[in-house]
Amino acid sequence: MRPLGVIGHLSRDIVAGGRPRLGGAPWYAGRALRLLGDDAVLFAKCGEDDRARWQRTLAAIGLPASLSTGGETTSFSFRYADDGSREMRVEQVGQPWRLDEPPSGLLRRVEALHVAPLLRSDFDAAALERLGAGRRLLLDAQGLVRVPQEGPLQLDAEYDPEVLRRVSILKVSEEEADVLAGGDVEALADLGVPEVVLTLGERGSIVIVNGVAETIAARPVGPSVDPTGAGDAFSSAYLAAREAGHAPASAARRATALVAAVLLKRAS
Amino acid sequence: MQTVDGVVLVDAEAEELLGSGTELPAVEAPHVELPRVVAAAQSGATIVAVVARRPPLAISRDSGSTWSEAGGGLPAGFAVAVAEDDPDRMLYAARNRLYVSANGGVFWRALPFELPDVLAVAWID
Repeated sequence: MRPLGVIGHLSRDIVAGGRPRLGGAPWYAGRALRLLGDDAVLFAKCGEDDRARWQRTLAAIGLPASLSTGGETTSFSFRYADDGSREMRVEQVGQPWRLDEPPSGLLRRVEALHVAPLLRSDFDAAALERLGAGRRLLLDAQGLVRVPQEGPLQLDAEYDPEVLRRVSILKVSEEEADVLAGGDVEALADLGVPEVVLTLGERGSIVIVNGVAETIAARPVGPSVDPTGAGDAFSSAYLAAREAGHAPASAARRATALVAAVLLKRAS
Repeated sequence: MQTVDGVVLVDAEAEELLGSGTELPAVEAPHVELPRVVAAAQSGATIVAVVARRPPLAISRDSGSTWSEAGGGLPAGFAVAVAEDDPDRMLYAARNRLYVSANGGVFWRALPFELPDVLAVAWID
């Protein structure tokens, strides 16, 4: 079986005014796939200035990685209010993936691809058409709703429906489901993607396939565990399980178990 | 629902097991002129039949004159029920899972528990 791929921008994340830290799906999902022992290839993109440092960091995951560069690195800042609410700002918008990135020779190696945009501008319909040719695509709905504009992060449903044409699996968070379908599980099924996975944090997930919604319970990990990157880990693990022949609900159970293991490992 | 281990009461809205019951309400199954029918239920002119093929449901809105297929994502079924006061509310039993539809069998929600093998289902309002 050919390996799984994860593609997305790396991000520079500044949490509560602290030192910038690395984020983005190739980083979080890559580490989860390494834990699973799955054969996988990482395709990442960042600004030229961050290339040397982050190439080493990516390489340290221990999976084959291809790093494209161009423009600036996508950057976010996070601030937490006294009531625990989180404000997320877009500080810098990265350059979209070009049609020749990643190189075709590398892309041919992967059988299924977890596409993880940070913002809606990361992958357009033409890019997804190329990425999805001959392989199963899982798309993170961040790439449908996150407006690529500096300032407080804004979400809306003004995406190009053509981006979903090649998508086999759509992974949606609760917040994204509110924007895309008013939080209505049935309406998510009408987006035109054969398989939708709605993640609900500590309340588990709902898999929607062929007009049937099935709830998968979460595995408790405790309140003090930082969930950053859990969605990326879930998506890659889900796709890996689907590629291994698991049914959607079974794949969600496996992904849930992996996310719990990743979060608990991080907390220990 | 009637299972091999007795009657089990379920709250389909809250998705909760309520405990054991005594017996299911007696519901007369409609006569259905379809091949490979496993179970059927009726409310007004709506008839729902579980059939032993893919997809596993056939639904008629005109007392059995015409039928449409439904439930493409459902596993093989063993029992079905339609609410008497609202024919769009349906219960579908796979071997040990229960599915609920509120829109006439277009969209189904799996209840999050496994049961002993299900023999029959019925709505109790």
